Amino acid sequence: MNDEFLTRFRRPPPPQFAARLYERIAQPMLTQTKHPARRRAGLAAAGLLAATLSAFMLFPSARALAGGIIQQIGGYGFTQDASQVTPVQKTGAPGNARPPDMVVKSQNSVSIQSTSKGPSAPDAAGATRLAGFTVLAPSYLPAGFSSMSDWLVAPQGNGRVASRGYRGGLNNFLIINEWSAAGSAEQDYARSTIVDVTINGQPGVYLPSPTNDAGRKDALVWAENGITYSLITDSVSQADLMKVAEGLGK
Amino acid sequence: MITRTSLAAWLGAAATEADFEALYRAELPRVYNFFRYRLGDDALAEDLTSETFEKAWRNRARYRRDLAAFSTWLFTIARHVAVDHYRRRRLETPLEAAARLPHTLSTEDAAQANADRERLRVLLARLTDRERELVALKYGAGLTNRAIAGLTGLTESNIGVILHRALHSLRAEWESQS
Repeated sequence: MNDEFLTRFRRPPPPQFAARLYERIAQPMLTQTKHPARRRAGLAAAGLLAATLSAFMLFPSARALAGGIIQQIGGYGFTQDASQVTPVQKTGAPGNARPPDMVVKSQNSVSIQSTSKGPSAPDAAGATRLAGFTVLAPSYLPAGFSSMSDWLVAPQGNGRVASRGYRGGLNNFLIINEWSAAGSAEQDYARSTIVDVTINGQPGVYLPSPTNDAGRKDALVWAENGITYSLITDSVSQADLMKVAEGLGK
Repeated sequence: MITRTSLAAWLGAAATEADFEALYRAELPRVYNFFRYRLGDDALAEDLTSETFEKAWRNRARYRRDLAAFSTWLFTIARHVAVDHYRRRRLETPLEAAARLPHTLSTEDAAQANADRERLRVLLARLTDRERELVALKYGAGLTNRAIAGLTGLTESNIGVILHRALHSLRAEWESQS
C-alpha cells in the first residue's frame, strides 16, 4: 500500500449535483446588469485591439516588436546560435531590474549565458535562502535531462525569480522559473495558441511554440500559493512538462 | 494575438462567467473529495460542498488575491464548514463505521474496487481527527504539504510526520485484514 492507494477513494462529483450547484451559484452572476461604463471600456478595448492588429499586419517593425514579446518568457530571451546572441529587452512590470539571461543554442551544444548579477546556489535549499520563498526542485525530469546550471536568483518585477536550466542530449533545454511577485505584479504571456491546463489543481496555461523548427520554445505557466512557475523548453512534450510541474517539491 | 494577464481572477470586479466556470470545474472535485475523505459519506459530502461554494460566492468580496491563492481561501472555508458540521451534528459516524468493519470481504459479492474503497473508508474513520483532516487535504483534495501548512498552521515537516504515521497505521490495518 502506498500513496497511490489512498487516492482510490476519490470519485468525481455526480454530474447532476455539479450542474445543480453551478446553476444555483452562477445564477446571480448571470443575471447581473452590465455596467454601462464597463461596456464602453470593452468597446474601446476592442477598437484598440483592432487597431493593434492592423498595425501588426501593415508594419514590419510592429511585427518585430510582437516577435520580441513572444520571445521573452520567464525572464529569458532565446537565440538559436551563439553568433546571433541579441539580448531581448524585458518589458515586464515597471521597476524590473533584471536583464534577461540567454539560452545559447548551437547544433551541438546548449548553455545558459547569465547576464544577471544575482547570486546562485547549487541546490533548492540554498536557493530558498537567497530567494526568500520556498524554491521547489523537480522530482521528475524527462529522460536524458540533467542540470546545466546552479539555481540563479535575481530580482524581477516586485519580487525575485529563481531559475535553473537542464540539458537534454546535446542541445535540448528545459528551464524552470519560480517567481515570487509581491503585490499585484503580473506577467503577460503572448502566444497565438493558449491551452488551458490544471496543475496540482491550479489553473495554468500551456503555450506551444508557433513553430516546430530549431527556434521552438514551448512554455507551461501556472501560479500556486503566490508563486508563478514557468517551464520553458525546446523539446519536452506537454505531457512531460506536466509531469515535471506536478513533481516540483515532491 | 491573445494575451492573458491573470491565471485566476473570478472574484475580482472583472470576473467573467468563463473565469468562474473554469475555477468551479477545477475546484469542485477537490472540495467534494476533501469532504468524502473527511466524513466518509457521499451525500453529506455533496451537502457540505454546496455549503462551501455558496459561502465562497456570498463572501467573494472578502477574498484578496494578494493574500492567498484562491484554492487556499476556498479550503479555509471548507475546513470551517466541516468543523461547523461536527459541532452541529456531533457525528458519531466514524466510530460506528469503525465498529462495523467487516473482517472478511468476498470478492464474489462486490467488485474488488468497491470493496477496497469501502475498506479504506472504514479505516479512515479510525484515524484521529487531525490525521483524517490531513489525509483528506492531501489525498482527497490533492493539496501539497506546503498548501496544507498554509491552511493549518502546522509546519510542512510536521505534516509529513503526521501523514507518514497515518499511512503507516492504515497500511498495517489494511495488511492485517488482507
